[in-house]
Amino acid sequence: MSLIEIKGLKKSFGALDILRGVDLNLDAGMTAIIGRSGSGKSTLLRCLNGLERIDAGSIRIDRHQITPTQSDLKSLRADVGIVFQGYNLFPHMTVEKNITLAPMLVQGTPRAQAQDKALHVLSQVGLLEKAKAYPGQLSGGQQQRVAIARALALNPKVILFDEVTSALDPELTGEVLKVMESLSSEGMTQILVTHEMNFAKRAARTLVFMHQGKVWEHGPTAELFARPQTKELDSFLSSIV
Amino acid sequence: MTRSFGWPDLLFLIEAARWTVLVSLVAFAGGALGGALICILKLSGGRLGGAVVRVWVQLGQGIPVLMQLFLFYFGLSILGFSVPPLLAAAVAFGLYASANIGVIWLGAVDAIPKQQWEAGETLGLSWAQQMRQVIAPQALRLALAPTVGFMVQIVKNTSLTSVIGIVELARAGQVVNNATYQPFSVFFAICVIYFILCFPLSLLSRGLERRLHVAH
Repeated sequence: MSLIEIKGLKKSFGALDILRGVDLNLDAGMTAIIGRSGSGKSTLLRCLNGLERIDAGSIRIDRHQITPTQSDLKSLRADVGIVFQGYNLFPHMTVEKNITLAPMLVQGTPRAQAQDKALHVLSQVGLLEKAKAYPGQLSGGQQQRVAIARALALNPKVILFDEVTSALDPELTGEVLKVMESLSSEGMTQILVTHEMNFAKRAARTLVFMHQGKVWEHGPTAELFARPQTKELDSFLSSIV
Repeated sequence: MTRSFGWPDLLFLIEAARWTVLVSLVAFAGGALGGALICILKLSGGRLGGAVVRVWVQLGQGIPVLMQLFLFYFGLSILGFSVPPLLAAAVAFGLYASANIGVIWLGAVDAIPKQQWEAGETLGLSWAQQMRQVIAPQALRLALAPTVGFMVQIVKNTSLTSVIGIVELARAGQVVNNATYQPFSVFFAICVIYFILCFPLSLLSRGLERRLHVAH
C-alpha cells in the first residue's frame, strides 16, 4: 500500500478549476512535482495538509483521510509538515522558540525536552549556534533552514516543500537543498514543488509532471527525464536550460 | 465684583480634573474590553459577528460623541429612565472608545501577513493559539502608537461631558474664569493640567515600544 493515495482530487477557486481530477499514489522517499506556473502544483501540495479544502475526491496520507466533508486536521498536521517559499517564521520569537512552540502547545512536550529536540533539529540543519537569534538576524537561506527545523521538530512522517528556494540566490539555494538531501538520506519522505530541475533530477526518486490541473506523467525520475512520454513534458523539459 | 485667580481656584481645577481622569479611565476600560470583543466577533464570529461589528462601529464612529452624550443622558430620560450623568458619560464614551479602538486593533491584526496564520495552522495550533502566540504579539506592536494616540484624544474629549452637567476640568475652568476674569491664567493652568494628564501616556507608549522592539 502506498504511503499517499490521491483519488479524483478536484479543487477550484471560483470559476477557476485548478485541480481537475488528480489521481496519484506516492511512496516513501523524495518526490518532486514539476510543471508550468498555474498547473496546480502548489495547490496540490496545500491540499495535502489541509490548507485548502478539497472540492471532490479523497486523499489518504498514511492513516489520515481527507475528503470534502471530513478531515481530522489536527492529527494530520502532526504527521505532515510544510515549508513555505516565504519561510513564515514568527519574527517576534527566537529561533528556538519558533521551534519549541508547537511541540509544547500542540503535543504537550515538556519545555526541557522540547528544547533538547530544538537543538537536535537545529544541528540537523547546521544552525545550532543560531538558537538564540531572531529570524530577522538571519539570511534567507538560514531562515529557510530554521523553517525546516521547525517542521522536523514535530516528528512528521512527510514534509512538503512549496518552492522553498524560489526566493533565494544560488548560493543560499545550495545550502537549503543540501539539508533536504541529507534528510533524504536519513529516510525522511519529502514532497517538493520545485523549479530546481537539476536538484530534482539528482535527488528525487519519483517525478510528477503536472499539466492543466492533472498529473500528466509520473514515474521514476531518471526515466521521465530520459524518455518523456508526452509532448507536453518533452517541451517543458526542453524549455528549461 | 471679581477676585483674582489664586490657590483656591487652582485646587478647584485640580479637584475637577478628578472627573476628567475618572471618565477617561472608564473610557479606556470600556474601549479596551469593547475593542477586544469587536476583534473576537469580527475574526471568529462568522457572518452574524461581522454584522454586529459593522453596526457597532458605525454607531460608535459615525455619531459625534457629543450627540451620544445627549442621546444617553437626555434621550433616555425622555423615555422615563433617569440616568445619572456619570453613567451616561460612561456609556457614551465606552461606545465611542470601543468602536475606535476596535477598528485600530482590527487594522493591526489585518496588517499581519496571512502566511503567519497559515504557518501557525500548519504546525497544528488552534485558532486561539495562533491568535495568542503568533498574531496578537505582532499586532500589539503595530497598534500601540495609534491606541495611545486615541487615548490622548479621549482625555481631551472628556471636556464634552460638561454638557450633561459634569464639572470636569474644562467646565471648572469656565466657572473660575467667570469669577476671576483672568482667562489667560485660568486657561493656561488648565492646559498645564491636561498636559500633565496626557504626557505620561506618551511616555508609556514610548517605553512600551522600546521594550517590544528589543525583540528585533
